[in-house]
Amino acid sequence: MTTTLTIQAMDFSDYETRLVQEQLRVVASRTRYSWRFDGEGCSAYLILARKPCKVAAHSVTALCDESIEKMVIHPHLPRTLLCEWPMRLMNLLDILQMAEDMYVPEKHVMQDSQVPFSADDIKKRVLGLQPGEMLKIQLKTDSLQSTAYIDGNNHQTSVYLPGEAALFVEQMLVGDGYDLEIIPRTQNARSGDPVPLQSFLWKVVLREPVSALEQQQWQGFTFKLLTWPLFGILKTEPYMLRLAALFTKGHHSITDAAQLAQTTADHVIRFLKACRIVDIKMEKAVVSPDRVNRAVVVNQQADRQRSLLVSLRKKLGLVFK
Amino acid sequence: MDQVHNKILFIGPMGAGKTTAINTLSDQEAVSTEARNSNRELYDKANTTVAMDYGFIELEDGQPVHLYGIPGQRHFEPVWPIVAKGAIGALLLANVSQPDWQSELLYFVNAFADLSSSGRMVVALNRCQPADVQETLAWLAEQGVCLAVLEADPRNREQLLLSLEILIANLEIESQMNG
Repeated sequence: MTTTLTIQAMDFSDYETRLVQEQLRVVASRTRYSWRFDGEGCSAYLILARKPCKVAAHSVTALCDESIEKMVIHPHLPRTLLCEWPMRLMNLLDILQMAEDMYVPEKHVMQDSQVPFSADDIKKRVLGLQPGEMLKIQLKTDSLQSTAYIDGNNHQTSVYLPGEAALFVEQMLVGDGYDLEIIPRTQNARSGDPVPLQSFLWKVVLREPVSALEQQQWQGFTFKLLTWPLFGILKTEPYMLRLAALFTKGHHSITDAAQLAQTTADHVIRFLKACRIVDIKMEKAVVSPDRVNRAVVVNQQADRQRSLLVSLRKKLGLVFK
Repeated sequence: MDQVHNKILFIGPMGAGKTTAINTLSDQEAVSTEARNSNRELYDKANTTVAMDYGFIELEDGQPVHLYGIPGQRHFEPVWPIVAKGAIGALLLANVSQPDWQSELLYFVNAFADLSSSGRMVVALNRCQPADVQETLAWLAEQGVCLAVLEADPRNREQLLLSLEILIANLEIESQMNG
């Protein structure tokens, strides 16, 4: 059986991610093992990253930077390569081959999530809280700001975080993960600006790695959203707006959606998981066997209309800066 | 040759904030056709739009994206389709502090059915509480209407831009689906 190693990107734009995917396809025939691109995340065997980040201990990290002219092994960080960016084809091949050299079989092939808990676990525990109880999220790190509390107020369940939400979520999903514990409610825990639970869970799901098993489970179905997400409250990126527009128009498979919304299947699955966790109603149907992937046919008129939209986005481009 | 459509509509009842929203987004001060408000029982403001508002956003290549605001009072309804012709999308503004704002909202959703049924409409709620947005989303879904709903103060450019981003995303998807 062929060994498959996984690769993920961190902090790359949609365009850059697609570029890496295309390059991976081109060099695929020249590597010892087979490689699978798993979208954005930090749980794969090889992580392409724009800046140092905390990844699972088994991972090989390739730090990509415009200032680097030739690939070298990082002098201080273990299992880390310093690589040029933009990346040339042969350079990517070198990275893959070096990562293959570092690979020890039976330790990390096609592993599912490194995180013992998931956003679903958090939600289930919050729903099961009794009066007078709250949920504690304890990061397994040495950081001083390592504890968050979730408390159900009369009307709204809020998360009390020790610092910036995005940073805390990032720490939950790298390294050793986190523990969940139901504790008696304490006023001391309710410090800082509360974040709505929905907004917090949305952020967590969008950052959680999608395992191979999950990918299989989502493929083979079409999905339709019955309402839009609350984009004024939930973290938003352009690809999510396109996916929401697409899935509110009708049923689409993961593959179709990725193609039409010009994003990755990984992003599509994360988006749908995020919609599910904030209770957006969704229909699911089995993909009919005669359904073929939708080919994107470009015509001149559509092209000109798209060009206007791109210019308008560029002119307005303040929201997502 | 087919024309590239480049008109965005601002619709909603009188007092919803259409004129203000166009002024907030327009590259230059909007052209307005305001006259003394003779219906202060409905909404107590001195002036109201009687023909239309107009502003524009000029793109880098000099091409304008036109911003048209309709007159919100229902007796101007015959004018609406004329102003709406060729629009790529609409921002439906509603002032939650107005009486009957929900039925007004639904009236405009139905009056511009071409835009609302294709998702080329975003609902922007003015003077609302966070819970109003979620409730409106659910209420519209009960009416069989699936539209994005946001809180948007018409003076707040960032909030309006998110509404436009949603319209653009929708158009991008339509453009991809239609080839």
